[in-house]
Amino acid sequence: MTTLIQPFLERWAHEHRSQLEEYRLMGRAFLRDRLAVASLVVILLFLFGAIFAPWLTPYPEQGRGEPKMEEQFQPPSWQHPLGTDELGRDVLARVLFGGRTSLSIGFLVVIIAVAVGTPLGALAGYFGGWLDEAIMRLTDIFLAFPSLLLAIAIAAALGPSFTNAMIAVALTWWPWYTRLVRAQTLSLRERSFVEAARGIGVGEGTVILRHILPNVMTPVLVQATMDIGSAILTGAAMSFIGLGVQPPTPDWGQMINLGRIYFISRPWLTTFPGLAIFLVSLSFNLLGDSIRDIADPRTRRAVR
Amino acid sequence: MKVWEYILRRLLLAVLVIFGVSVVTFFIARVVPSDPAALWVGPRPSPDQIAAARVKLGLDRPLYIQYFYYLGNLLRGDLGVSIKTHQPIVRDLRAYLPATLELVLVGMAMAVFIGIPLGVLSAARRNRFLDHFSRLVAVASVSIPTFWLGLLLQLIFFGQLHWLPISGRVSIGTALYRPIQTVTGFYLVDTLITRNWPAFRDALTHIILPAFTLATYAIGLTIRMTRSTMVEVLQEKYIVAARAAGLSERTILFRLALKNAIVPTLTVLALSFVYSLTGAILVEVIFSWPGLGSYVTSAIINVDFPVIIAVTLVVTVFYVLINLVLDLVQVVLDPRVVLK
Repeated sequence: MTTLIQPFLERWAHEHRSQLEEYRLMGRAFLRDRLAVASLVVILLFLFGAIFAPWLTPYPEQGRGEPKMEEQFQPPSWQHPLGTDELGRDVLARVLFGGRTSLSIGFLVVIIAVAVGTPLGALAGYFGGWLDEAIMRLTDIFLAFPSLLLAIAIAAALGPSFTNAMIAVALTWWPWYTRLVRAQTLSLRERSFVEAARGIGVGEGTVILRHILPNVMTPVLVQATMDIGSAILTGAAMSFIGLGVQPPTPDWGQMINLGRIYFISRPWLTTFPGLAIFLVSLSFNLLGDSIRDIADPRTRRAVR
Repeated sequence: MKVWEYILRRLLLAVLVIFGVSVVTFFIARVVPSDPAALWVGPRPSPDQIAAARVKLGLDRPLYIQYFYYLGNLLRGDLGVSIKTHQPIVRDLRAYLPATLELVLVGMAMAVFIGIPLGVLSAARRNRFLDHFSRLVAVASVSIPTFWLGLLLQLIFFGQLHWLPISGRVSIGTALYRPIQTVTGFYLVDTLITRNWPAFRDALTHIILPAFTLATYAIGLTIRMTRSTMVEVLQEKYIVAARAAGLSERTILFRLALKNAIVPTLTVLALSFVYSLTGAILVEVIFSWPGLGSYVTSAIINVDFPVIIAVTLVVTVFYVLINLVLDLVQVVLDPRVVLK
């Protein structure tokens, strides 16, 4: 079996050797950046906590929302390392389960924004003319709105829920990717390999799919990493004002909202979910900065 | 492209964008909700009420006619009526807007007086302790959830230290014994004009925490922008010449270099001013600040839909106009931008 695919693998590696070398250099630069590695570790820890939440806490049913009134408002202790909330639920379990919604809203918003923004940007940049003009003016209009306010209005119209909050935030986000991809496509369109492909009669659709899109993916992925932190922050803000996930399903922003009336006397209700948002968003911002520097060969060397 | 051609193009674009914004808000208000009439009537509507609302809102007419009615009302300055208070929304806005603007302006002043000096010193002492510190502040300030930061500051400065009040614009004592005469709606200005000193002090202590919370994001951006432009400017020959001539470091940094590094920073500040208008929504909830943000969030709780749409529209038009002014000012200051 191995002998059968071996030649193909070798040929593939040979054909893509400059690309592989590039990735190897990126990987090395990344490992040298201690802050970025630490950020990645923090993110992976939170992801691990969210995915394996039911097995990591002795109170999975409380993490999902089941109250236990006789243990209301207990300060941090050995049984409840982060204390208990207004319904007697273990705050650590709530933070772990809350990570599932808070993290997925960040990722999903960026994924939707990329999925909508990238093709529009490629079309606008590749074909130009009236199509370009129409798409770009549409992004102008969407970018004219303050994003949080537009998301609030859309989510309020759709009704508060996880999915609607996600759609609302993603709708304010896609134009950035459209602009980024359009600018990249404009310069790619003039490159000789694209002209050559067109010259030998490759169809427009195939040119975009095979030659334009693969080449814009690196800047898009870099931008996406930088955006996840702010997407998580915006998602948390939405559920903080009550437009996100509805109780009993937990979410970090929602936990802060529900705990804030007890804040002065029972700070643990809001401190820990807030710390979780802060750490995750900080890690994504640091990681994004580092990846941006690493992806560009001109700044890669300066990375410590 | 000629300068006037650029200005004309920019003005046309602003008109187009405002028109587009009105279409989008109309769409959100009338097309997205499954039943706008039910939203208009409020919670627990009766079928008769919904039927009446449908006629009142013109929902029985074709969509494009509805839009023209909507646009006509907007152009006459009619933003509709709040479901909760039955007040014209324009009147509510007039009461809440000054509170938010006061908060945002004080926050911007903080961003200028904290962010610019930190950015300048950070560039001057590159890779030393202060530089690392202020870069950390810059990253942290764009990563921290403002609503959480507000709670932490309340816990420290009210809960532990008892230095500053926890929330509101003035204390009850001031409201009862030294009431503030409303002239402009900005309490700091009103108390100064009427020489109501105890009330001025009271209003000042109340605004510090919320304004700072709101300003953190702008402070972070200002530090970053000032630092990066200052690093470039400090390598120019005229700075080397000034050093050789023996001018003091302070003169070089804050008088010679900053003058050439300030324009990008001012742009960032103007943009974060508008950003703060929406950031204020979260801050006002935490500090019970009676401004636009509190107005919107109570509208969300009461499903007072016309209010949410009106505030979105007003703030967005504000946003578009500030961006327009900013672009035009840039052309006047530096005609080279037209070439881009």
